Amino acid sequence: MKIKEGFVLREVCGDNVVCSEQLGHVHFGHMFVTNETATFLWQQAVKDGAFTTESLVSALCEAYDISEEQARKDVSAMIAKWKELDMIEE
Amino acid sequence: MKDNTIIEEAIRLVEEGHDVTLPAKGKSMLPFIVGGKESILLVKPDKISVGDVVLAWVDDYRYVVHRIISIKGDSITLMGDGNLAGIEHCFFKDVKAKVTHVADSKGHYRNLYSKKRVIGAKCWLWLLPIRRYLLGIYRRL
Repeated sequence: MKIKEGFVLREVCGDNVVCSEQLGHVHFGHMFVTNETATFLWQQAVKDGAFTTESLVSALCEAYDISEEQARKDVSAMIAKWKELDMIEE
Repeated sequence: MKDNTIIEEAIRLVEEGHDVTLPAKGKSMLPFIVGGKESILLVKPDKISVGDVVLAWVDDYRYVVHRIISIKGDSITLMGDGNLAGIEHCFFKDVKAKVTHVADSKGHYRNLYSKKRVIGAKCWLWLLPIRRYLLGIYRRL
C-alpha cells in the first residue's frame, strides 16, 4: 500500500491534520485530524513509501512500549480509516 | 477548532500562496453561496473591485465573506447578498482573501464572476427593496 499523491500532513490550528493539497490548493473540507499515534503511522507510511500492515506494526512496537497485539489492532483500524477516506492505494 | 482560528489558518495559507477551499457557513450570501452545503475558494486578493466577494475583517471585530458594494479611496463597504439591511466597513488592508469560485457538495466548482453571475449580482443589488420577498420565494424552492 502507499499514500495517494496530494495528501499532506500539516499543523493546522495546533492540531496535526492530513489535508488534501494539490497544485497549491488546500481543501479545509477534506481534513483528517490525527492524534499522536495516527501522526506517527502517517509519517512512517510516508517514510516507507510502500508499506504493509506488518511494517507499520513493527515500527509502532519499536517506537512505543505496546504489545504487538495492540499495535496490530491500532494499525488495522488506521488503515481501514485511510481506506474509507480514500487516502491510500494498493 | 473555533471558526476564527480556522479562518485565520486559511488566511495564513492564502498569504503563503495557496488557494484554499473553505466550507461556507450561514445564509448571508444567499442565493449566490449556500452556507452549510457549499464551499468557497479563497485566493490572494491581488486586485479587488466593486462586485467582488471577499473575506474581510470588518468593523474591527469579525470576519465576513460578503460582496463589496462600494470603494471610496481606501474605504470599502460590504454587504451580504442574503442580507436585507446592514453593511460593513473595512479598509484595503482588512481584505484577506478574494472568493473566486464556489464548490457544490459534489466538489464541482463554478466561477463567481462569469458574465451571467456578474449581471445576476448587479440585478440582485438593484432588487434590494424587494429582496425580502425574493429570498422568501428562494427559501421555499
